[in-house]
Amino acid sequence: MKKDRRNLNFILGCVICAVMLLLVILGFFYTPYGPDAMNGPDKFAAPSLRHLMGADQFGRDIFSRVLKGLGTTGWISLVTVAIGGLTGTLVGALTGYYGGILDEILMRINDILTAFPSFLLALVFISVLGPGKGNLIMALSIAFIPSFARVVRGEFLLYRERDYVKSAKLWGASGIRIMFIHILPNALPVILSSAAIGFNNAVLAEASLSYLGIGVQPPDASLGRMISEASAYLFSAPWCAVFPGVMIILLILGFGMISDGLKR
Amino acid sequence: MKFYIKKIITLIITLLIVSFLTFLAFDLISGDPAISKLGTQATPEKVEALREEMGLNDPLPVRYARWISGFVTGDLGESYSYHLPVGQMLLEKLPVTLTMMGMSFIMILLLGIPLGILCARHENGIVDHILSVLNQIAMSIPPFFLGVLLTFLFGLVFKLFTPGGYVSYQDSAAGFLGYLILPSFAIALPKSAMTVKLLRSSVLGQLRLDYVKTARSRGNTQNGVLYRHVLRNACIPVLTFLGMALADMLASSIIIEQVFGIPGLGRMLVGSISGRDYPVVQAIITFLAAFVVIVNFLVDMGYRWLDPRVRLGGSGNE
Repeated sequence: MKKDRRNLNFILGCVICAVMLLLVILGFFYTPYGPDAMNGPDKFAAPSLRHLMGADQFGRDIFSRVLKGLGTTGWISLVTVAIGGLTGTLVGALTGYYGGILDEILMRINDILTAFPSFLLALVFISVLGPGKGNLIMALSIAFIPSFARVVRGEFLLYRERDYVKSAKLWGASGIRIMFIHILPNALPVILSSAAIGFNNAVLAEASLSYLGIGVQPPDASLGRMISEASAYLFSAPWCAVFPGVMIILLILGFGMISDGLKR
Repeated sequence: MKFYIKKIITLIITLLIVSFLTFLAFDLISGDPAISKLGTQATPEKVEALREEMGLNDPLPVRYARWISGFVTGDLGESYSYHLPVGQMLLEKLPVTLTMMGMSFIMILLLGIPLGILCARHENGIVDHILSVLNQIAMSIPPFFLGVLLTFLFGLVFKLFTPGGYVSYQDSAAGFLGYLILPSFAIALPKSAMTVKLLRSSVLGQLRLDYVKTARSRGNTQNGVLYRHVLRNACIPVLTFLGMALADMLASSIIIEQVFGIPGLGRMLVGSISGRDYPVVQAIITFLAAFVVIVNFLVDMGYRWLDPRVRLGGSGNE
């Protein structure tokens, strides 16, 4: 029973994420209106066939902006998880496999850093580097390294004493080969599950920072920023805030369900 | 005892490292405070004189020592934009943020623990299924969007509160607490959902252990075992989670203050980042970092105190 439910979660999560991905791809090639095209008469138009999700205070089509914003959010999350994940995996693999004094020092630093929520870490980096999209990507990538390093290190600690590793050593395989050809595939489920969680944190952090006005800056559409701009017109045009918000929820929900399903 | 002393020393070293890193970062980026104080038109001699007077020409460790001793004694420098002592500004905002966090913590306990037990008691029942779906959704709502939704529902549709009508705690305690209910709830809901999920699986895990069968065979009722024995053990991981969640709640409160227009620590931080008011940013970031490190330390201690196996087993590391 329990296993079924887990699989159901995983499949549902994949479906939601696939739909989101399709929307991102659609937004990349085609949007019904220009995302920045202002259209006076359609100011605050309610959702209809003409504007699927309505229009905002400048008459911009919300659906088109949501598609673009989804792309921005997805892209930033993907890049940051990829950079943070790869670096973290490398650090975790090296420290977990070789151990020693470097391991001790890096893990002490890691212990401190993993205690901070990624949003808070990104906020710290942004407050030092200054607002903007590039700095946001850099901040989030750095913020994700510790959690990946910790998880991967744990896996490598577990596997480095296994017999197949010992036998590979006897065959004369190099450390690098053992780490990346023999151990890494075994650690993959855990890494993927962390990546899904990391993706969620990235979406949440990007949306939050953009909502605060210190993340993605105006010419780029961003879901977080759309919600913050729409707050002023909440009563007259709630759809301006609701649709971007629902998209964020779906994105997080989808990846949350996938990571639930991936857990052993 | 030896163990606690070691832990406390580690805590102090961690705090020093974290504060030094923030000091270093802000020292590198904030430019020349003497110029920002005098303006760019000041003569080089005047700037140099002020630099000497402000002690900016001293080596880095000396400046760090002066800054950290200032931090401990409450002298945090002066805000660039408000020309007020940063310490005084922090002291004014701190109660607001802390009250809000305290309220959301109570809400998490009130929502999360009863619902978690309910789910575990009716494992795979209708209530359990409905709650687990709601849970999954609640966990996915970003707190700031929940704040926006709550403002819309309660402020604009039901008109139960005035959006932006914040009441200072100095004016009316009841009005202040009343205004903080919705923001606290926005912070609490996603965390309550996680608490329910965690407590449910923790209780179910405990119910499968042998001591439950023993207790039942001795004539205890299912509920008696649940409330007297199981719950105590099942709460240990939940309490650890709640301790860790405090850091997350602090992060959410920074955004929520922006949503509801509450003049707390977070609003001051965001305003100062945009306005490049470095002394304020530096003070708040250092405070946040210290808060996270200390909470983590307390969670670690509390965990040891709650779980005798960890306390006596001595396997402190992994």
